[in-house]
Amino acid sequence: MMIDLVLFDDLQLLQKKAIELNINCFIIAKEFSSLNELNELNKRINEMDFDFKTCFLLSEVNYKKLNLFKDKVDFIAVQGGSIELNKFAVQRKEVNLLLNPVTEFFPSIDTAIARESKEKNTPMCFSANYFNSLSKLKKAYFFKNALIAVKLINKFKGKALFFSCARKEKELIKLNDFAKEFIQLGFSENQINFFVNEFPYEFFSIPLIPSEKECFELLNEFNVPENILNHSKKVAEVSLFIGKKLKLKGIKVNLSLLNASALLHDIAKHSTLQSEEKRHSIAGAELLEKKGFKQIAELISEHGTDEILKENPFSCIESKILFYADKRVKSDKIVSLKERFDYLFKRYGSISKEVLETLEKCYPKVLDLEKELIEKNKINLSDLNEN
Amino acid sequence: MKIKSSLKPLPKSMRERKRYILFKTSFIKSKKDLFDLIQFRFLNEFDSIGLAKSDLRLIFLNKEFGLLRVNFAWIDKTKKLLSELNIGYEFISLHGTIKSAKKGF
Repeated sequence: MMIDLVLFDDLQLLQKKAIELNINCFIIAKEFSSLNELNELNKRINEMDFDFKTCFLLSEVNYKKLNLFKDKVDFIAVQGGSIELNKFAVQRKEVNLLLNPVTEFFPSIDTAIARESKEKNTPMCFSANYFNSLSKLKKAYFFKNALIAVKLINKFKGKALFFSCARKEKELIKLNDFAKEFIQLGFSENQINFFVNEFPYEFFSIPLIPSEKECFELLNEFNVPENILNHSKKVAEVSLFIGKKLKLKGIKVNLSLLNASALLHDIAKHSTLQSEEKRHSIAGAELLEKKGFKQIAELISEHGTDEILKENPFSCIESKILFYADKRVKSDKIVSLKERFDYLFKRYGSISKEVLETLEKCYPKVLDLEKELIEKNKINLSDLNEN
Repeated sequence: MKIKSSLKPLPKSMRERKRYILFKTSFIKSKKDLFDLIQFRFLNEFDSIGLAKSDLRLIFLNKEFGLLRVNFAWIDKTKKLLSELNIGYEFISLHGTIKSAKKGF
């Protein structure tokens, strides 16, 4: 899965294309003329079931606009290409990205820019859209300047990013193919892999989330039985239902993170039932952390029933939703909390008195969570049951 | 805050190693025409990346001589390609600087 930056905001289309292009987050970069325009986009993003981020794109040295948008958007990018803009981008703390540092006309990058780009953590981004718009001869001139940029990035151990920077559907591309062109310019294959597949997640602090298809492949890989699979699917359904409702109330919920965590939350249940070495939530979290899905691992480690007794049991809203949804699904049926806990008391309470006591302590806390999540936000539970 | 619009020169260790090919030619058109011809041939033969890496520049051309700058690693390929062009090419000498090359004609 990858992250791409685009210059248009047809959210429906982008969401559709995301699966095909293996992208799990789009950064919408625009030179917003006013805050209203940004707010409108944010509103539309809130209605979507996909992870979109906003980015203010500056194509001139303009401190006023920079200050106006600096806390309002997720990222700020500067459209480089000239010495002045490149220097401006790497000198300002507020700027996160330097787009197209070199053009076919001029290298416009020197040791000072490369050093500051590394120090201020402003990666240089290469745009496929710009690259593909060049003729063969101009491409050669671009390569000539890019050779210098790559040399400087390597010398100062800087970072690069590759985006499509598409302005329309046709310009959306597979980022891997574009990035591979830069191997000829001096980046190693490992570097390209890192810049495309790992660094964006680290840089944008976006959780690495497997697609639904990848989730099912993982469940298959770990031989999760049919009954657990059905339970997980139902928990995912309930989680998404609550997540979408909360999103409509203006609460920021990452639905793809929620969906993937819900599908994978019991990935280790079957194996731990057999070995009884570890709790299934911990074993599942460890397993997914090894696969690189840190955020999902964190959510899964927090879904054990007695986790709610801890002081700060949940790291994020998605964790709360997953915990609650899991407590509302018995096998593959949506039930009330009372019915679910009655079942838990019966099944696990018979193991020991301590377990029963712990479960009894958990129940009122889960009811409080229900109040906080469902009743406070006026989510209609009958809709949930009908689903 | 005013931003300086000049670039620092690249450190010597990072600069391309270049050589100057001094050659005889019977090409009668302009310097630009000859350079376009060489570039076009390079593009066909080695694609954009080859032309970029070879770092070609036609420094000088008169009715008899031409001086072409080329990346150190691309000398042989360039010489071969020049000999294939229909410009009456005849290699004279290879130089490390323009100054030394100018002594050749």
